[in-house]
Amino acid sequence: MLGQQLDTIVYHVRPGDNLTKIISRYYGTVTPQKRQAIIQQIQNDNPKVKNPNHIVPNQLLFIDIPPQYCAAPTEETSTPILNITKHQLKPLQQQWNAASPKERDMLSSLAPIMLATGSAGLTSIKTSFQSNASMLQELVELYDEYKANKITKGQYDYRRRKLIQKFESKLGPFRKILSRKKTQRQILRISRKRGRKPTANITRQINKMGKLAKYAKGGGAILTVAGLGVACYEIGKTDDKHEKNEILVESLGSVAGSSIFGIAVGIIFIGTPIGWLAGLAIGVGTVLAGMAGGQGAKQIYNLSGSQIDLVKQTGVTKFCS
Amino acid sequence: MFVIAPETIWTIFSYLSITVFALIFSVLVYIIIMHNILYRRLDPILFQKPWFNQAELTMYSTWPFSFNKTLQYMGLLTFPEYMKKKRFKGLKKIPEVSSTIKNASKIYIYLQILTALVGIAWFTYIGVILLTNETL
Repeated sequence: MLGQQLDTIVYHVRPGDNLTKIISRYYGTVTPQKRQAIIQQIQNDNPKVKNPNHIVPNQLLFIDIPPQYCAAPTEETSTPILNITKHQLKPLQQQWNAASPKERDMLSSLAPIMLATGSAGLTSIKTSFQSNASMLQELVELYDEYKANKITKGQYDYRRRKLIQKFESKLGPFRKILSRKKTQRQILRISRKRGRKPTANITRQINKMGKLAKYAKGGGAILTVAGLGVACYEIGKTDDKHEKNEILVESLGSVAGSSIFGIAVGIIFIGTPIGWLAGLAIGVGTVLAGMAGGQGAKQIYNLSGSQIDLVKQTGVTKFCS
Repeated sequence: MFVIAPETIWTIFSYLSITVFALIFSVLVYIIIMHNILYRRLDPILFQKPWFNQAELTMYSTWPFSFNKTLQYMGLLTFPEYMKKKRFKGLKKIPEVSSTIKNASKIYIYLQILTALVGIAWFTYIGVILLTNETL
C-alpha cells in the first residue's frame, strides 16, 4: 500500500481519537490526497468503520504504519521506563513513569544524590536489622529449651517477654517496616496451627529482615545509570546530526562538571566534619555544577561552528541507535 | 576583548576536556583501589566517634560518600599533623601502614589537588569564552 514497506499494528482507539489524529501521529504531516488514501486503506482493512469521522473508543483498528514512523510531537512522548521490581522503590518507579522527559532528565541527575542520602538511611536500617536478627534466633532457641523441659513455663514467658521488649526498643522506628499494624509481640507469637512449625512466625520474621537488609544494601546504586540511559535515548531518537552532538557534548560536560565539583570540594574540605545538611548541600551543588558544565560545553560546541561530528567519531551513534 | 577563531576555541576546549577526563578517570580508579586497601585496615581503628560524627558514620558507609572517608584516611597519612588538628583530635598514634601505602596516599592527594586545579581552569575557560562572546 502507498508504494512503501509498511508494518501493521492493532491500534486501540482512545476517547477523543479520530483518523486524522491517528494518521498524523504515525505519518506526520501529509498532503490531503495522501491522507485520503490512508483513510481509504484503513476502511478497507476494517470493514466495520463505515464512517471515517466516527470511530468508537476501545475499538481495535488494523492500521498500516511506516516501519520508522515519524510521530508528531505530543506531550506524551515515550521515554525509557525504569523497571524496578523491588517494592521499596515502587513509588520512585511510579514517579518516573508519570514524569515528562525533562523531568526524568532532572530526576536522573538528582536521583543518585537522593539515593546516596536515602541509602545512608537504608544502611542504618540494614545495620539495625542485621544486628538484631540474632535476637529472633534466641527466641527460637528459648522455645526449644522450654519444649525440652530445660526451663519452666514461667521462666520461658518471662525471658520471652524481656527479649521481645529488647528487640522492639533496639529496632526503634524501623520496627514499622516489618509490620505497620501489628506489634512485634503479635508477629512473634508461637504458632498453634496444625501442620505448622510452632516457631514459623519467628522464622518468617528472620527471613523478612534478611531480605530487607539485602534490598537496603543494593539501594544506593540502582538509579545511577538512569541518567546515561536518558542521554543515549535522546541521541538515538533524533536524526539531526547537530542535535546528537549537542546532547553528547552536554552529557560529557555534565559528567565533567559534577566530577570536578565533587573532587574540588573533597580536597578543599578535607578534614572538615560534615553533617546531613552539608552532605545534602554538596549533593545539590554537584548536580548544579554538572548542569553548568553541560550547558557550558554545549555553548562552546555551538560557538566553534559545530563542524566536529563527535557522535560518529566516538561510535556513540551505533551504541545509542 | 580578544578575538579567537572558533576552531581555536574548540581545540583548546578539547585539549582541556581530554586532560580533565583523563585526570577524573585516574582519580576514580585510584581512589577505588585505595578504598579497598584502606577500609579493611583503618575502619576498625578510625571509623568511629569522636572522629566521625553520627551523620558521617551513616553517610560514609555507602557509595559514593564512602570515598570521602577514604580521602580522610589518606589525608591523615599524608598530612598527619594537619589532620590531627582538624578531624582526628586526640589520636595518639597514627595507625601503622606500609611505606608503599603512605606514598600511594601522598601521590593520590596531590593528584586530586591537580585535578581540582585543572577542573577549575576548565570551568574558568568556559566562563571567559562565553562571557567574551556574549552568548549568555
